[in-house]
This record gives sequence, structure tokens and C-alpha cells, in this order.
Amino acid sequence: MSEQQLIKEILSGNTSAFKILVDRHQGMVFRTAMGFVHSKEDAEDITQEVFIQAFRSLSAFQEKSEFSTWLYRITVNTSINFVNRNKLRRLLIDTGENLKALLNISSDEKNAHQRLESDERNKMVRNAIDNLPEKQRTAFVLSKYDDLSQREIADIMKISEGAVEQLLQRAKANLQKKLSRLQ
Amino acid sequence: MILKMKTEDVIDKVIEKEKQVESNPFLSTRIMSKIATENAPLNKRVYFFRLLVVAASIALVMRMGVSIGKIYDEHRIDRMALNINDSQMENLIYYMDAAYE
Repeated sequence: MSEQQLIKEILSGNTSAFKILVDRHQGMVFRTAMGFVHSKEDAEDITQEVFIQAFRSLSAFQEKSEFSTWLYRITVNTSINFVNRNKLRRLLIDTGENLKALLNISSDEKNAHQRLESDERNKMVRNAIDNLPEKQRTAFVLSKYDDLSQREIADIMKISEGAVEQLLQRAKANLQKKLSRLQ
Repeated sequence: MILKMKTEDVIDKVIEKEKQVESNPFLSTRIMSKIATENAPLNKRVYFFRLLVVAASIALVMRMGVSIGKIYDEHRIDRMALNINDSQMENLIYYMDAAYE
């Protein structure tokens, strides 16, 4: 069944048809959310929020763009809002994890230190991605986590392909700069 | 350039690791149940019944308030009680100078 037919079904009252849409797009929504929050539980919460919002505003979907493009837009906005809402909570969780990692150094110190270093490196990369300006971050996540083309990213962000290319270049340069300590 | 590649590799490695994380297999069921609960159209009859019950409760509470107020009014201390109380009161006349003169 095509997406247009599914949407008509849902709008005519067949709510269960929405599950087909959820099953089709759940992976992509979850992956994008992961790119923004780097946590399985938070990404699942965002995925749920995205589909509920999509269901509520399905009647407003005018089919000017692809359903997936529309869904990506909702995902990006929901993820950014989620991140802004939970900044303090994230900080507390990170601090807790750091402490836990330090306290868990076992007798096998060499391995423990290697693991600690690897965790620290991963955290630095995540922090660097999180600290990118909003548009650069969105373009970067859509490109790297969802492997979308510049054309598709341009559609989602409602900007030109050239602008997407520029955003991606700047994002990469910023990441290089921020992660220079890794070299 | 080699160093630059290293950073990119690290970034790609972290991203690849995150991309491998899979969501809960029951996530779609969770989403659908949430939608079903939120979307359950509140029956109009039930809605009006609820409204009626709330309005009736408010009216009942107001009526009870008025009734309790009236009960208080109706149980005033009657004259007999006043007399009894008066009889137990100390006679203030002893303290008045006029009484000793």
C-alpha cells in the first residue's frame, strides 16, 4: 500500500494503518534522534513523540513533499527541542557517568585505563557534535547518521544544496578544530 | 593530512557505533498504544455526563454550606439557658462602691 493510500486510510478513521507507517519509518526517526541525543532511551522517547505529533497533524500534511521529508522535519525539530529542554539533566547524567567510570577502575588497571580513554574519546566526539551550531549540526546528523544526499538534506532544511554543502564543510572544519586534542 | 584522517576516522567510528544501536522491538507497539489512549474520542454522552456530575457536585456543596449556616442560626441559645447562666454569674453588685454605702 502506498503512503498516500495509508494516509487516506488513517484520516478516514483507520488508526491501525498508522502502525504500518510507524514500522516503515521508525528506524530512520530513531537513528536521527540518536544523532542528537546519543542515548537509546532518549532517542526512543523522541521517536514516540515524533510519531504522536505526526499522527496529530497528519491532516495538515499537504503532500507537497514526501512523507519521509515531512517526518524528518518533525524529528529534527523535536530532537532540538528535547536537547534544549534536557540540558541540565544531560549534564548531571554525564557527571554521574564520569564518577562511575572513575570508581570502577578495577585491578586490571591497564584495560581499565584503555576503556576509560576510549570512553573519554567517544564523549569528546559527541560533545563536539553537540556543540556545533544548530544548522551545522542538523546537516551533519542527517548526512552522517542517515546517509542522506545533499539534495534530500536541502529539502528537509528548506535551503539550497549549496547551503547544505557549506554547512557540512563548516561542520567538519569545526569538528576538526574542536577535536584537535585527539591527534 | 594523515592526522586529519585520524580525527575523521574517530568521528566515523563513534557514529558507526551509535548507528548500530537498535530501538526496542516493542517501540511501535508502545507508540500505537499511546496514540490509542490519546486518540480515544471521548464519548459525547460521557462528556456531558461528566460535566453534569461536576456541576451537580458544585451545587450540592453550595447547598450544604447554606444548610449548615442555617442550622447554626436555628440553634440559638434560648432565654432559659441565658437565665441559668445568669444565675451562675458572680453578683457584681458586691464590687460596686454604691452597694456598701
